Amino acid sequence: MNKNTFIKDNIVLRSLADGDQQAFQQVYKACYEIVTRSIQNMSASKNEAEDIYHASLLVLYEKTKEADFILECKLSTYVIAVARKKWLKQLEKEKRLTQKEQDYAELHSHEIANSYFDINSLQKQEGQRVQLAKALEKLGSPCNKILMAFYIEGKKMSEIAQEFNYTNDHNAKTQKHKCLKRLKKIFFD
Amino acid sequence: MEYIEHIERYLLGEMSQDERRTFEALVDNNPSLHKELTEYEQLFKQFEHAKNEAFVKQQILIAREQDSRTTQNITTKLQKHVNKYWRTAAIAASVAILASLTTFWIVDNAYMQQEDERILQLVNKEVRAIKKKQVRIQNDLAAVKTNVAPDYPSNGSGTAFALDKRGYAITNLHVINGGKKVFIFTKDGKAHKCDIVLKNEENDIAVLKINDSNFQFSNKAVPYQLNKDASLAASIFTLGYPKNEVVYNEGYISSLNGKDGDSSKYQLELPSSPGVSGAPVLDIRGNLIGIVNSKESQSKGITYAIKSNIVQQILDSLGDTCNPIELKQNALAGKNRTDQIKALEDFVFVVKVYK
Repeated sequence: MNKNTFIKDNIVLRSLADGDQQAFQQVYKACYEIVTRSIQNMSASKNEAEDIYHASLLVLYEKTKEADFILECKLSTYVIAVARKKWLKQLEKEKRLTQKEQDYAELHSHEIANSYFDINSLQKQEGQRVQLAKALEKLGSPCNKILMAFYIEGKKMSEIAQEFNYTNDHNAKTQKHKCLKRLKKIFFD
Repeated sequence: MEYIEHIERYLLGEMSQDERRTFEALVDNNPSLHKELTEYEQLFKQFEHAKNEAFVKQQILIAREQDSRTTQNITTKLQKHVNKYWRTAAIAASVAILASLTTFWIVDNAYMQQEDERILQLVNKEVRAIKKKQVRIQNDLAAVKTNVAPDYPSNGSGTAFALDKRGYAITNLHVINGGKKVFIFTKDGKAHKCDIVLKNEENDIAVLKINDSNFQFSNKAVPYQLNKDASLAASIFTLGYPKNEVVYNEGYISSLNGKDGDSSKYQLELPSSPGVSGAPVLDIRGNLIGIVNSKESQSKGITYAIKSNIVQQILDSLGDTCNPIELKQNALAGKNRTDQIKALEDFVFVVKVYK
């Protein structure tokens, strides 16, 4: 692949980092076939391969948001490398990992892509994600809904005040802070 | 003093440069505030991840829908639909961080559809899942049926050993010639029906394959490799099944050729009894030098073994079907004999044939 490909890919990824819908759709279509097929070659079913592909797109998306992220190989190569690592981890976890898949991954691994990310930190993040989910569940309604509305859905305080029937923004905000404190306590206990 | 508002504004990047500096100085001088700040920072990072996940999931949803409905019209309608429901979808997404990726699809498909369409979809999904399950059960059942050895007495038995870990094994042709159905019994006593992949009358060799594509002898590779030039007087040992239990024996190479100068065989000084036909002959490092084949009727200790270069020829003729690479690594060298035997036991089996 010539360097121009990477430049184009990098431009697309810059738009993706800003949450550009078109950029995402472009990436999705460009990599879908090659990535899912490559995972199916490592004894994944079609559904499993798709799940891995989607999870890998999340990794890519979060990566693009890092300030120093620059792609130095073909985009699909990068996503394949991410997907393979994730799939191997899953196989290992489900005790389905055999020499065949390991050999295959080694044979097809791309060193540049491999050096980009650390699967263990991904696993750790996955663990924290579950932890957050559990903490939110434990926190209960409406506290968790208020927090999710503000921090995850990106709603404004005024919208939240209206939705949750607070007399003014300030009251909603005070309530939100109380909820946040409780969540933190649950999360770290 | 409560700092939560400051912490939040700091983490969301809402502070001016001066404010930041003042706040950072405050944090530096207040260890408990510092701790609190780092904890909130971690929590906010998780919020950020959840937010990213919601975005990606929404986009995947759009991509899939676009893929399945190509008409421009429907697509634009759907875009509007998605935009309208994006908030709901996002809630679904944040709720779904409680669950796994796969469960997520059930949740937000549900939000995206009209109520009845939603129910229909869930039902379809269930039906598909049940169908899938049924196929699996049928396969399992078939596997159980084929892997039950007949309850009448066998027509002969011998020993076989693995050529790779995925179900290929080798034995003597005369072991299996007496019947039609061939079963291998692994160490755990389980029966496995085999196909006969290859019969070589000239060298009295048969290659078997366990009739189950998911089967593995072990998750480890076959622990022996071929040694094609063993020396006269070299110590050897075998592992075979003269009875329903594995039996160990040892001896040495007493002649480099078999009966009447047969160069395809070694003559061994090794006690053997019926049933060990097909057993692997290994040198002290655990390399495979041959296959127990027959014994001299007049003299008690003399046993003949098919040389491993014949095994190599057989493997070569199999081509890619069986992966002979696995016979190229040795995991036994340097181990003491009892450990060698332990490692070997998963790869040596009883073969029985039935009419």
